[in-house]
Amino acid sequence: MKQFLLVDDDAVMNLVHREMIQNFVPGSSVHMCESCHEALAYLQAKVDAGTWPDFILLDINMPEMNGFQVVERMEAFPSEVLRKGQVLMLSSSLHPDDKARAEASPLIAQILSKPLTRARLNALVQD
Amino acid sequence: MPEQTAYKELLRDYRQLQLRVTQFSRVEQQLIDTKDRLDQELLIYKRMSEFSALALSGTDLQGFLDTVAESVVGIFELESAFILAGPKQEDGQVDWLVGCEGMAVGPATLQETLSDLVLIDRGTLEEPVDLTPQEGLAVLGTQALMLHAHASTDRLEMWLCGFISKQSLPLYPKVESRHQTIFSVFAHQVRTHVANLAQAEELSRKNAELQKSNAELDQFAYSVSHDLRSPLLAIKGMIHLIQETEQTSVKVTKYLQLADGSIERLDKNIQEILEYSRSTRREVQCEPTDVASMVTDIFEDLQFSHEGEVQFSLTGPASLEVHTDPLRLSTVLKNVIGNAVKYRDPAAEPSWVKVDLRSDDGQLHIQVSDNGMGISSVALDHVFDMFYRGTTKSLGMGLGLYFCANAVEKLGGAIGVESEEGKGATFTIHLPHATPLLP
Repeated sequence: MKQFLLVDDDAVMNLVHREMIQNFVPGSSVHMCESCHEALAYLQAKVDAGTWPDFILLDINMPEMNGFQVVERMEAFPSEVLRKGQVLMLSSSLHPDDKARAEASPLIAQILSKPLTRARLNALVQD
Repeated sequence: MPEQTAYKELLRDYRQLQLRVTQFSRVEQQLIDTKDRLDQELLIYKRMSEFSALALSGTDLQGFLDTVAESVVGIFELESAFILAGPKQEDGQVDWLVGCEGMAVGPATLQETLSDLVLIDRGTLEEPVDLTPQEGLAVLGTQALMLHAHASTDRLEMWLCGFISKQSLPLYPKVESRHQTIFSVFAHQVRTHVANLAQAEELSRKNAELQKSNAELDQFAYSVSHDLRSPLLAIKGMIHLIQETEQTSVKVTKYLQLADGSIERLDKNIQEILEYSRSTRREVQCEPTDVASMVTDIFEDLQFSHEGEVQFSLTGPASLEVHTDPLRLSTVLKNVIGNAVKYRDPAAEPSWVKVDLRSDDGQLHIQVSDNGMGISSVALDHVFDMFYRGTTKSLGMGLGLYFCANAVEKLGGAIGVESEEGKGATFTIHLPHATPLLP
């Protein structure tokens, strides 16, 4: 069973992505967070419980803290835990800096443009 | 008496001789005076020429003012002189003056002409009073008159000062008419130089302001595009979700397609506006760039951007490095390759996009060809025009290829297209291996 964590302050986008995942990744479970602090607390609880999501989908532009800052905070988690899953940045912006920043981070597997399509999801899960 | 006559003649000769000696010594004295005056003039002009050379060499403002003060000392034979400098005040007061030892210094009211006379109350810091020369001379005593030359720009104000007095005071030398001439030349040079310096300062300040507002505009365009696109992409996602997961009637399916198309167009418009705002302001920044891997990345990005299958292929060297602006080149390639995908022929089985890279004679040739819808002969001449849209199927505002042509030109290259309606299109981009510095 694939576990997903969706972090996006846009509730509609979160809903769309949850539905897409649940429809096209059979047997998946999705947890949604609308704030970075909520997401970091959720991840800490996961670490404490000895588990970790397979995919963490992080929006870049969010209030309080952006997606990259969340990734920086995540670096404090044990590396053997971080290795269990993939971090994917979701971007609605077109800023080349975001792409460069995502590529430069060892924790970030990919940067994807929103909304996630069925084909993109399939490719993701098959990898 | 012959002796008496001889004596008288001798005496006359002697007196004549004496007179000539006096005349000669007077002439000698005149010559000495003239020589002294000429020496003095020479010294003044020498200092003036040193000053001019320095004024023209464009030193920093403070160094320049120090030199002016030094020159004032030389020309007016002062013990010392100084210049206080400061910006022009809102009330028209200036905080800087040329002064000399023993002279009172304080804010002065602005004077527009060269030879206005201002009364300085010696030893006090009271404000000077405007007087005519006659009135000024009438009150001479413990006071002296200051002759000033005025140099002014929008932001800076400068006075050069000399002094007039009836008797020669050690600290207030007489101002002679030739000094006034020098003064006016001096003032002119100072005015020009201060104006130049102020202009240079103004320019660098404006440049810094421009850079700042450019960065702010970039940030603004970025935020606006993000804030506009976010809800749009959520709607797009919602439509895809319905299309993918719900059984809809033929009518609703059609409506959803139309809605999706409208969103696609709006999104494309936003992207083009952002692209336009970015590309027109950003300077060309070159670095070693691997064009082959850039193309591969674009293929990857486009993989999931559309329905149906498109075959991407790249021929040429596996790695091809040129010295160019990667952001501009990738924008161009994304546009051209993206167009090949967007305007593919639905009837084609399968659709393909081929990119060929070739390098010769210091030039890079990139060829992007497809088996898409092609471009009509009418549209072909205008595809690179601003706001030109070739077909009703065009997305966006008709800026994409305009940017491309613009960007390629900035990179010192050229772009061209060959196409026939219904038979695909081939875009060719020629770029120098190293982007030349364009004016």
